Amino acid sequence: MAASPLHDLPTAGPPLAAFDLKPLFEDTGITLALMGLLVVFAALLLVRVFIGLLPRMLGAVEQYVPEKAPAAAPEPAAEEPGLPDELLAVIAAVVAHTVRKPHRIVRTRDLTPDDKSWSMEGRLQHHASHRIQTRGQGRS
Amino acid sequence: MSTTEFLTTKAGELYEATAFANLELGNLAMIAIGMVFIYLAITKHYEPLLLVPIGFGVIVGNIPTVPGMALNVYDEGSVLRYLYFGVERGVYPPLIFLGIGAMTDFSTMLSNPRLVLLGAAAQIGVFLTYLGALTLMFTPQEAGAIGIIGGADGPTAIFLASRLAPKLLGAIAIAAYSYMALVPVIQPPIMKMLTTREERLIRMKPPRYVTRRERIVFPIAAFLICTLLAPGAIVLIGMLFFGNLLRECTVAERLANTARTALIDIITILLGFCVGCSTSADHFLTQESILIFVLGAVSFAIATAGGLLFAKLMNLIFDEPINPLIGAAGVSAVPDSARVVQMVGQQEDPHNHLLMHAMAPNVAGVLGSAIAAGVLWSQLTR
Repeated sequence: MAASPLHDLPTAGPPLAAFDLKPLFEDTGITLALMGLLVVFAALLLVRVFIGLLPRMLGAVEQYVPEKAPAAAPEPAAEEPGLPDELLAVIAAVVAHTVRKPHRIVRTRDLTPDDKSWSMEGRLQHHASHRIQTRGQGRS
Repeated sequence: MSTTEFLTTKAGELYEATAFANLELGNLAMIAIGMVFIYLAITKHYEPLLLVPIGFGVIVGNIPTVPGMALNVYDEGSVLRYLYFGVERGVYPPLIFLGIGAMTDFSTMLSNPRLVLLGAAAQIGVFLTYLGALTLMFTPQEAGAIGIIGGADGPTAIFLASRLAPKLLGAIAIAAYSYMALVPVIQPPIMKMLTTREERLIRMKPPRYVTRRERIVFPIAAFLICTLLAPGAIVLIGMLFFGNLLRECTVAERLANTARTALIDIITILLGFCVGCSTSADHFLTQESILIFVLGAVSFAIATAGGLLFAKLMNLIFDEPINPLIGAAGVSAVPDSARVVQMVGQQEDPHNHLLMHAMAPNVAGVLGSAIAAGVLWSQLTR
């Protein structure tokens, strides 16, 4: 059976203190590093430009091929009879605590997929759910 | 032969058949390191999904084998050898990328495209470390594999090391994953040193809504852009965006779900364990490994600083300010470096939520490091 490439390779490394600037000035030195960095920037710059133009391009497409509307949102919950008074009291308490000035709650409704801020908050909590802990902190 | 002599001889033979006969100080040191990894994972929660398999693999890989028996990853025909094939030939990293793609939400990047450049700026760590390794008399191929540690992307580091410098694979993989686990320790001091309090307090505009069409078109178009410029990145970027398309198209939910759960978990187990097993003392405890660890730390620090300073530079050019802390997330290490940004930002202002913003350079950093790996691979295999 053929020997593994790992066995064929020498294991002796360079001396710990060896230092030489000469390799920097060969083709695989500074030139390659600059070229590599340039390619990375160029690729991501093009991605950045494309992302910037994407809404406009899709806006133009939208005129001819409109995107399917999301499923109709359910009717607002508050307009349905039977929302528990306790829940309304909790909502009112939270709003009062947050607004801290005279106010009136005129309507409540169920969340819909379009409620971006809530989905963002959910994602935020999801990402933070395994946050780094220091010694002495409880588990999240 | 007397009974005593017989028993002594048999006891000697028995001892020779145990691992104790070949156990060296280096093996004991590596077993201790494996235990430290497991300790850090369990008590400090430092990348437990990686450090537990790697740590146990280190312990397994440092039990001396009996001559004549194929047991460890370097023995032809051993079971571990077959499992290690996926590491040695770079099979596992693209599969990890498939899972990462199926997990990643590019919405924040799509909603604030200028943050993409922070992912590019952080790659300066890769190329400066590459130059540093060259001056320390590593070959260009070895230097390229070492430099990519600064990309803070374990699978990319393993993939490139397997292509360019297989004999350094163990040290590079351990260095990359160790520093990824230590992101919460390495990055905050650099972040605080390079920013003022006023900068850390900057609040950014909430990201705009990104349509489903944008999220579907992006992986296909971005794949074409990236790989036409850097064909060497086809495997990694291709799998990343394929996984993302599975996620965003919403009609292949079963596949996306498998890629981001069972598949990535299985590959992570195999990858981590096999990498750990490859760190037997005779392969790992070398001068090269010490240099690789030093260069890896330097690479991480430069990458963090590169992203931060580029964010500050962007603030000089653009009107809408960026919190420079999010530049540190350009080193990828998804999502740990973004979490660190959130943590450091909240130390100054508990109500400033930078996590979503930091995810943009974070995923751009994954793209950047994969492209950098592609460039190094294509240029250094010629």
